[in-house]
Amino acid sequence: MARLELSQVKRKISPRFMVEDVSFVVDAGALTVLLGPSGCGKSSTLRMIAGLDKIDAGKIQMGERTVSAEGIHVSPGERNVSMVFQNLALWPHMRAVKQLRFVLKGAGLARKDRETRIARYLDMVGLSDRRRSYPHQLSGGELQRLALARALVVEPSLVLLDEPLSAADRSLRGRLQKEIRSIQKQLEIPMVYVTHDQEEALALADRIVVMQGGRVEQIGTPRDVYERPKNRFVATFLGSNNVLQGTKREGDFFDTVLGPVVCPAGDNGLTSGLLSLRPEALSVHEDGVECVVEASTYQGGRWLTTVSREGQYFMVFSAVAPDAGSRIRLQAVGEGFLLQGDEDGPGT
Amino acid sequence: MSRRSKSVVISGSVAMGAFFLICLLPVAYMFFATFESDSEIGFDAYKKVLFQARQWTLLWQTAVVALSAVALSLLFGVPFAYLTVKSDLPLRRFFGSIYFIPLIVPPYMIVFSWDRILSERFPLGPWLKEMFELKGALIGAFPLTAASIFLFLSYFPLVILLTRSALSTQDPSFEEAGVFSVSEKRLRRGVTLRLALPGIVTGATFVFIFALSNYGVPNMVQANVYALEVFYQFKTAYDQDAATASAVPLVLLALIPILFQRILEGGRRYSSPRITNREPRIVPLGRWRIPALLFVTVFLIVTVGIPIGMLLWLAGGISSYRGALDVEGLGALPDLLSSLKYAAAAATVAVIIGAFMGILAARSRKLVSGSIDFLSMLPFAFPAGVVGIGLIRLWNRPGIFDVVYTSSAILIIGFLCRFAPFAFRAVGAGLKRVDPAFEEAAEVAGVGAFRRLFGVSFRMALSGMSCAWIIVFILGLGELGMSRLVSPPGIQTMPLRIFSLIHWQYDNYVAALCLLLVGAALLPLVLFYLATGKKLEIR
Repeated sequence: MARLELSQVKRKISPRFMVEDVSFVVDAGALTVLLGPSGCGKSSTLRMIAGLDKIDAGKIQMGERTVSAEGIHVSPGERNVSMVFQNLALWPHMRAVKQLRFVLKGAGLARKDRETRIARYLDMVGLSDRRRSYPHQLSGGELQRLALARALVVEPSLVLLDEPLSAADRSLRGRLQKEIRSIQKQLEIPMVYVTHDQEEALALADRIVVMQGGRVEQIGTPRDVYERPKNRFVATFLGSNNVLQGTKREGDFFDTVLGPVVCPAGDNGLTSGLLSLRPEALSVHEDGVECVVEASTYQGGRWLTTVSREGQYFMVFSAVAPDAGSRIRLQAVGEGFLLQGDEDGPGT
Repeated sequence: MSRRSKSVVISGSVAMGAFFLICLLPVAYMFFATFESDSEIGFDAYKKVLFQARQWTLLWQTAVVALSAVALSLLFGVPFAYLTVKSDLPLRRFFGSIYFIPLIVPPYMIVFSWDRILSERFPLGPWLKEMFELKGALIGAFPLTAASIFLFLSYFPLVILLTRSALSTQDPSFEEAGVFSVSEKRLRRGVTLRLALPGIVTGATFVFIFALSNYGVPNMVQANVYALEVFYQFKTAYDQDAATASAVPLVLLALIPILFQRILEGGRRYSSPRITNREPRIVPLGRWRIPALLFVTVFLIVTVGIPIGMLLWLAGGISSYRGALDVEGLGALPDLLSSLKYAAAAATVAVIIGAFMGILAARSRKLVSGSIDFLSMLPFAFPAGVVGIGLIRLWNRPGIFDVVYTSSAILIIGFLCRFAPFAFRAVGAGLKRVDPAFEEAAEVAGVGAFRRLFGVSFRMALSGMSCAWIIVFILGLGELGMSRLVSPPGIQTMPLRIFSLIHWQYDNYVAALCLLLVGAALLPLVLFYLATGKKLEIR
């Protein structure tokens, strides 16, 4: 399908909250994840793309066609999109096969073609042998697969997924993520996927749109937003991160409370600012600066240790758990990244 | 899963005992009594009554009248509910607030009002008579049709009430999941109304049962149906066994929809996985907006405006109200107060029993919970006349029984028998929505059993309990059929007074008293709305 483009989209959600100036592009065949904390406006954005909610200002385009703008609102049924809902919204009174047949009946297909297509999609999600089951007879994973099959069977030009795996346990979630990604690649269908789970976003996305307070904070590949967060929010929302004040010394070197840190992006004219430094960029080293161990939590194969220095707290991964109250020396061995537009104080 | 404490089991069991004693025992005893050794007839009564050809005609007529009332209620009620909940119909909130008024007008008053509308004083009656080439009374010419229409006009709000509840609590994402590829028409039929089916069927069941057991309407239009037959056998022929036997087909007929409704409600295929607080999805009516507005307006004018308007017109000025209540006039004030007292007492007892039974059902395993739900609906199948005869047969004996039988307690018990299932249903539905974890949180914090029940579970279901109270109160206030059988000497209720006055042509007083009764029934509804901002709702 042609690409989806949102330009300066705005909608008042409640007297206190609005989605504002949301702009991003979903390329053909790509999986874009809208990531952010609860209540940041990502589901509202998805509903505007679906046409379930109107926009107050801005524009949404699907290919060359404007589907939402001032005075324009193409109904959901005419957008050629489909959606998987957070609660899956599977109709309790319909068998699996009927769920697909029901949405496909108006598509103008001959009966034989319709049934063939239903069989193909049920097979694709591994539910061929559960076609006669009602939703209450299916397991959690099967329900999610059925909801996906129902969204895909109409062969839409865009699939929207609103936290479809939020109710699944960790192992099921991992399995279903792989299946969704594999189906998406196989069908080359663009998807917009909403989640608040950073790991899920990093695992699934071609591009991530990070949102907060109804606004887009950063857009980029998973690697971009993880390694080069644009601001303090993105830096701390995507995994553990240390944020610390730095002053430019020479070249790419910044002086910080943890000693010198290399920031390759530091050639933007700034002489000081906040740096993000992932815990894995710090290492225990005898030439490092001395910090006090506050606590350690086991992370499966390694420990995440919180240390303090000059009243600020930092995180570092270590192979063993140092005793609380003991002293260790830390040195920045990886690169940091200079954050933009953050004037507030340092810390994690 | 069972998550009930000892206190819930004990209090629930006591409530179940009270329920059995008050609501089930009279009717159960009535049937068993016909087989007692000293009974005059026993099986013979059943043979004599049930194998008469006349009984089959009666059964057929009764079923036709009740089913016609249901069909009309569904025909008008479901579209009305859909339009006022799910569409962009202008003034839909206003329409959604006044449709239930006929429910608080006793059915015999609806007949009274329409009888006067169709009289020679207004052009409609003569015009219809001319059209049907009738010389006698219009209503009397078509008693079964008239009974069906008047019962529909009295009870259709039940279908709207239940359908509106089902539609307004339906998760909008069920529809949203279909809007991408399914037409609105198919979505409405295949998803929206299909998921609301248990609510619609429950509403239809209520209409069927009420229509089946109503005494006032068939009496006034002279429609020969079972409710009248039972009353006739008992009150006129003084034949208790024949009356009991006559009640059997009526009870069986009433049980059919109750069983069907229970099966449908119990099935997970039709149950929405959860109830949502999200606003229902509104469907634009487009070019159908004006025709829909016309339909709803005309429907409300016919069902609410005209009958209530007629009562207001008949009552005239304030002198009618004063004359109806004053000692120098009819002196009906004590009757009004008695009705209020008995209805309020019945409603309070029903809510208390319903609350303890409801919490037991809500915290029990599915089998126990389903059994309690079914048992609590069972008295609903007992028509007014059956309940009345059952109460007389059980309580009319010396000793403590006689104390109850000769006092107003027998009326309160009667109201409970007839209308408590409504309370059990409304309270039970409210309690089932309270997550047991709320109570468990209090338990872990060391809060005592009854404080947990009253402070958490009952408090959280207060809205449902208030609705239950109001419904039993309203229905009790207008009850006639059972009251006519069991009302002890010297104890008069407003419906009895109105019903006797109807035959004496005191139109202004009858209308005034009826409007006072309606006003009294409206009062708790208005107070409930002012206190909670919610409308009456049962599920």
